[in-house]
Amino acid sequence: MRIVIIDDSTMVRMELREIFESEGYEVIEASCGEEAVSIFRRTEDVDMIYCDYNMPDMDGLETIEKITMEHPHMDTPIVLITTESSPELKAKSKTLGVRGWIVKPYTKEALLQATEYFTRTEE
Amino acid sequence: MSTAPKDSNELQVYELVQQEVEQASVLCLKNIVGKTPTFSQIKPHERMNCDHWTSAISILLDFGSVGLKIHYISKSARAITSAKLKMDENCLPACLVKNTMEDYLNTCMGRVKRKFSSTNLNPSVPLTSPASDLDEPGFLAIDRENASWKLRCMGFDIYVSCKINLDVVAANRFAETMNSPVAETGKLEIL
Repeated sequence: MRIVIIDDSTMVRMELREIFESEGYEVIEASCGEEAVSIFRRTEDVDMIYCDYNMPDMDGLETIEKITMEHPHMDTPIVLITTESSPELKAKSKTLGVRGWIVKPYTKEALLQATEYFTRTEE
Repeated sequence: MSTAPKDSNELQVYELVQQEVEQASVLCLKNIVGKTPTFSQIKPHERMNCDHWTSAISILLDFGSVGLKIHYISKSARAITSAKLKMDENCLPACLVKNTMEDYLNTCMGRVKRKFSSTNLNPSVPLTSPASDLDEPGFLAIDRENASWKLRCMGFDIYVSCKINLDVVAANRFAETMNSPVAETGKLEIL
């Protein structure tokens, strides 16, 4: 099971990697939108995406939009992890294919629950 | 939860926003280190050990703006990062330590924004820079717009400075947002 983490904070990426790897998931990190886009140009074999919203250069939704434009048939579950919680942003995210939302600070339990929920639903 | 009457005067608004920022600074640090930090006001002639770094962030709200700055030494930031990531503090790269303090500010401001703002404007990207003597929080004017306090955890002090700029015309909108609950954090919401 492969998870892509898109977040500009090294600390957040390290913490998420630790959480997911301890449960046996394989983790790929992207520190910005462009890096995430290039990861998906190399492989679409990804089971789950966790993406930050507020990042410099390209925000989380722009990143997701770019990835899904390049891979229109990709159906990988996407969860946004962010300090934001406005209904407008959630509605816009939903139209772009975001399926879950976690407001920071996240918990290990919520992350594992989301992963299990979406990957099990996919099966 | 704090509430503001519809006829909140300007001073009340400053006080209520400051209370929320203070609360956010305590709760978000607790979330990182796992223990509630001790909150205290900075005494007028207190000797402060905070002359290494500052990290700052600002946010635009419906009724004005809030700026938040933390003052700290490398040792305290390393101890906090070590508690967060459960790693030996001597093995932590500097960028990771910086990230942790910026993420702390980002989470604080996210909470303040969720409390007060209905706009889609984001908090600024937090920035860290070496501190100068002029940055010491004790030297800031303590008035209705500026406030400084100290958070003590794991034997270290973090100094927090907050600046609130209020758009008085928008006071009614403030009263409305003050009565709205803060979104629950850390839980999955299916869209």
